[in-house]
Amino acid sequence: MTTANEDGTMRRRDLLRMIGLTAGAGAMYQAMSTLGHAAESPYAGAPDLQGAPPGTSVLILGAGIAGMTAAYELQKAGYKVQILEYNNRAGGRNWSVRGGDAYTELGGATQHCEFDKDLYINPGPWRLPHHHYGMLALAKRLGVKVEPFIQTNHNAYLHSSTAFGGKPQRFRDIKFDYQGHVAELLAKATQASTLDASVSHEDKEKLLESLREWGALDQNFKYVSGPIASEKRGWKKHPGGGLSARPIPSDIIGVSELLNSRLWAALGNDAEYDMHTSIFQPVGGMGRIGEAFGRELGPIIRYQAKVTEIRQDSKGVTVTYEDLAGGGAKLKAAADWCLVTIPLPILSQIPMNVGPKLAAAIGSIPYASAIKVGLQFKRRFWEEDEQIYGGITYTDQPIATIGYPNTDYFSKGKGVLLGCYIWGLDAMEFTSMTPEERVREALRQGAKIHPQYNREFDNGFAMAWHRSPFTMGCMGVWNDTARAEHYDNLCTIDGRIALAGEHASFMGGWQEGALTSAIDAISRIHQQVVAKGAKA
Amino acid sequence: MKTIASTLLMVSMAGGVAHAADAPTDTGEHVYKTICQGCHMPEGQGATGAGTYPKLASNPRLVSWQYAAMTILLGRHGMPAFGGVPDVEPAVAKMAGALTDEQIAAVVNYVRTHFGNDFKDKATVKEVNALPHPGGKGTGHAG
Repeated sequence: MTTANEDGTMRRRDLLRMIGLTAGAGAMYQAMSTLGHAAESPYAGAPDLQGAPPGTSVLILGAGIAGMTAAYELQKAGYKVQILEYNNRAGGRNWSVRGGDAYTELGGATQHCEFDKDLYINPGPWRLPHHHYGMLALAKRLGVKVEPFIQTNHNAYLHSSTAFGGKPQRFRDIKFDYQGHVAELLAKATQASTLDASVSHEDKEKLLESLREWGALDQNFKYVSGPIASEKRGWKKHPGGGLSARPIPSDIIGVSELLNSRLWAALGNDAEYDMHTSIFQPVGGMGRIGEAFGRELGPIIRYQAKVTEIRQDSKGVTVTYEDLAGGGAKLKAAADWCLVTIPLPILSQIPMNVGPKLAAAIGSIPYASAIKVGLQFKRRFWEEDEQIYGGITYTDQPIATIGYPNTDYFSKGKGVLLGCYIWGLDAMEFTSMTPEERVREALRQGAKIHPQYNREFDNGFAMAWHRSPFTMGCMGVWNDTARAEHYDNLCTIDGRIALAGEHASFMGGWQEGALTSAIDAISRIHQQVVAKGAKA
Repeated sequence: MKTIASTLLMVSMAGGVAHAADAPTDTGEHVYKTICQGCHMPEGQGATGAGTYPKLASNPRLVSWQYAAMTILLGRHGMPAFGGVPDVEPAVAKMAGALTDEQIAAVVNYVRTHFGNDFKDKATVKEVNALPHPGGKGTGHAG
């Protein structure tokens, strides 16, 4: 650990590191855009699918957000619709695990969730951004209430195993000290006329004033420990009333120590469009949407149906499936058209007579690994001891994330944390563990941030998406080459078969991508149906 | 650059404090038990749900070490590519969501001599290095 220069100035090495951060953020954004994550939803309301010949039928494979959206809209427009679903519930990755639920992963390990009543974990998606119009409209239509998701909590932690002796730092300290040091540096450059070629004399004064405000600088444009900085980052002793009221300013972190901690790397999370305020979660768990949707569609969903073959000819599509509830008997379903929302790792193994381009696309998209572990504790110590009400703590340990419940604050009794949210090779390492080992590892690492873990732990639930029998992975991962070569082919109707799902979108991993891809696909099917003019 | 791009995505979605992760060791057994068995299972027996992870136990396809190495390097169907930037430390490769060529050679040799497989020929790091990698590395690596 290094310390700042005595005069508080930034050394050249530190400056270079900061420039590196900017470049890193740019590269990150570029990668995100490539993968479609910065895209806004194209949802433009319910599609108009009127005018199909009576009795035109569509068979839908998968009762997730894509499949159910398609079923609802088609049925509303007069189509005859049936859904085949592998699970014994609706929703797919839109799912909440609650006390009393059982889940068996690939490999055979079964977990019986022992959370208290009303406590849950969302193993899949947990957020609804304000610009995901389709999902928010869906929640509204289904009567599923939403509440704020706390993306940024200034009182949550940023944690590095190696910086600050491994002691977690409050988000506000890192955020405002970073701003303060950057503002001081820029003010110094401005005053030294280094920026004269870029900033006019008139603008210079405004820039300095804005830096003073933004960075909590003093009258000399310095970022120093004192009341001005404490108004932003918080106090050592908070102001109060009466004789014991006098506040004591907090001590700022030196610029070198701050930069070397690398904790600034997590400051930009809420800057991404997908994470902006306002962002929501369904009251009672994300799975409330899938559950309500499944209830609404009712008997048109056939559960525990494992698709084993998809055959089309010029007249229609026939799907063979195993009735898992009925001892695996082979049954068939047929329709004029088929919308397939089965995740690609599974679909790539199902015999299906489509053209080589679509077949190649289906076989070319790898699925990401992801882990979520829910941990139930005997009390909400993060609220009671540490005044953390919702939001997210970030750490450089493999667990990466601790998510606090964004609901039921100050309630007595137990609480469930998201104990980790892991991607990449770390996720694969967690996947290789048993569910019990994943919970134990999440506890061991999390206890370095919250020592209360050891005393207060009650029980846990661990989801490893590559062990999911119904997806075999978390989400499709695209890159530039794959997009150019396969994306249009994946989305183009092949005879009487079309695909939909988050994998067929520029919003990978987001439910809005699944929803809008479904509307897009059925709208194109509908165009062909109408063009053919009669039930072909 | 599939693996690097996807890792950027993953780091970003996970929240962004860069990992100071433990450097994985290079033995084939370690790579298998920390990565591969997540899907292919502890005894190489594979698993079946709506789809299937192929079993590696007594699998005649493993007669070709190149087949196994190429599958790991470039991925196959939903399986991600693990080939990354050749000649980097395991911890650096891990940041990019990749295994090193040394790790890939080691795990190929491990799988081909365990779980009922008994193939005598071995893959070398140099040979794995010469195979195609994501982003076009490998075949042109020597030149």
